[in-house]
Amino acid sequence: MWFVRFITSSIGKKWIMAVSGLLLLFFLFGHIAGIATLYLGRTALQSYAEQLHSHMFFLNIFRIGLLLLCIIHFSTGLFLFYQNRKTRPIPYRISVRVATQAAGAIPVASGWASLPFAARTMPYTGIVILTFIIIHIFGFSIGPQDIPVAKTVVTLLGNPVYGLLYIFSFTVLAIHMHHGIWSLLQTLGLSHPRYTLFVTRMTTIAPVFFLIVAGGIPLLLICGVEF
Amino acid sequence: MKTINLTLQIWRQKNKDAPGDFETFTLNNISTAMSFLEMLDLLNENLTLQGQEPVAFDHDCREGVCGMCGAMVNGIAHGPEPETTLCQLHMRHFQSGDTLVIEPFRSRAFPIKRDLVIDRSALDRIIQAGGYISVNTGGAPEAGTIPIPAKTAELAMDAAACIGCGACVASCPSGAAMLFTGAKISQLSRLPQGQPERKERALAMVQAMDREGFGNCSNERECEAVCPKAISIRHVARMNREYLLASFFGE
Repeated sequence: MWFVRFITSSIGKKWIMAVSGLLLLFFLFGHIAGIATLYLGRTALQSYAEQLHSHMFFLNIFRIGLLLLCIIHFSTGLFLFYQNRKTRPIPYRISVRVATQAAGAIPVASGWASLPFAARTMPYTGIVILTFIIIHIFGFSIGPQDIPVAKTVVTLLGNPVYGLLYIFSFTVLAIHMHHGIWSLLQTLGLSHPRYTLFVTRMTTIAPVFFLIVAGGIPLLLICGVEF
Repeated sequence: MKTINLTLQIWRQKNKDAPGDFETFTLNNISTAMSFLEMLDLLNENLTLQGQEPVAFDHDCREGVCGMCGAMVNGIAHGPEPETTLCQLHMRHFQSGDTLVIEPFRSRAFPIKRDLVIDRSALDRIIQAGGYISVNTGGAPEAGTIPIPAKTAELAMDAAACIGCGACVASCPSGAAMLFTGAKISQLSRLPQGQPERKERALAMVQAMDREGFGNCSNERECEAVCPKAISIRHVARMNREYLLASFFGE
């Protein structure tokens, strides 16, 4: 079957990573937009949560889809990681990464992702994010049922240990996204001098924006701001 | 004439199956005007005079266009100078007293034949799978029968500059051969002569690349940084696009 042949090929597996990553990015955008209602006050967040939970059927379909996406993205990533490790049975005695130096040699306008560190640590930042997602789900979704959602959010994120864990995790997520956004466009074949400068800027602007909006909540709560 | 003295740690391996290890040599009075391969020639002359086995390394044109030479010098494919093959790297870029670790290009798909000589026929098999255009034999066609804009020809030439040295594979953290394969798919997809077999080519060449046991690109841009012909990873994006289109919309 053509689709099986496609997804089992090297480019097909990269395509799975790119498409699932893009869909997870869209989800993150929606999720953070929802949680950002807290900036409008605790009641805004509570009414958003109640509105969302009134569509339990669609919400559950969405949750299952999201779970599948996470499983696909993580397992394909893990498979690629192990497959790639086998390609060089004898390692180099000295191995130098030169992409950093080349980034300086190429004019910035040609626009490649600027932080090679992010590219190198993708599997590791991915594992940190997965751990965070599990903690996050246990804290909120499978958390206390009879307490209003907005109260759970404020209590949990106002806890310095938990709040700092959130800020740390969102920083790791921002690093993961910095390479991810550029990488998924490259895998989907979207690379052209006309828009690479824009894409390069977005690989920094978008993760930092998410970090500020999402990380701002625990930061403000820890600093004692009342919502 | 300025000369330098170097300590060389070179990978020695008898054949494909024998275990290999590093051997250390001291080489003095190396003219800084020498190329890296001439420095190895000097080493081999000394070894031969001492009755020792010379270091095997691949080379042909020695002017940076054939793609035969190549080794990792202190962890960088073709040495520290950008856009340079090993034969075009000159000893003036090194300091007297330096230690150079010289290793063959390593990849599961490139068996080591001896010392620094590797078998790159995996790349040839990728080309055989589709890196060509089919032309009927007969009288030579009239020049300029197919008009090609100069800019298109130039862009195709950027990809065609690939000499198949394998530095991209050697330096890829994932052991992928996507810059090599992408360059050829990209080159032919830009030209009118490449159109009839465009989709078949993308499918066949990617399949051949996977069959050889190369890795999966993780977009870390190391290949582009070491490529002696400065081939851009835009060609990898173009290959991804060609392969996607061929998979979803091919005949």
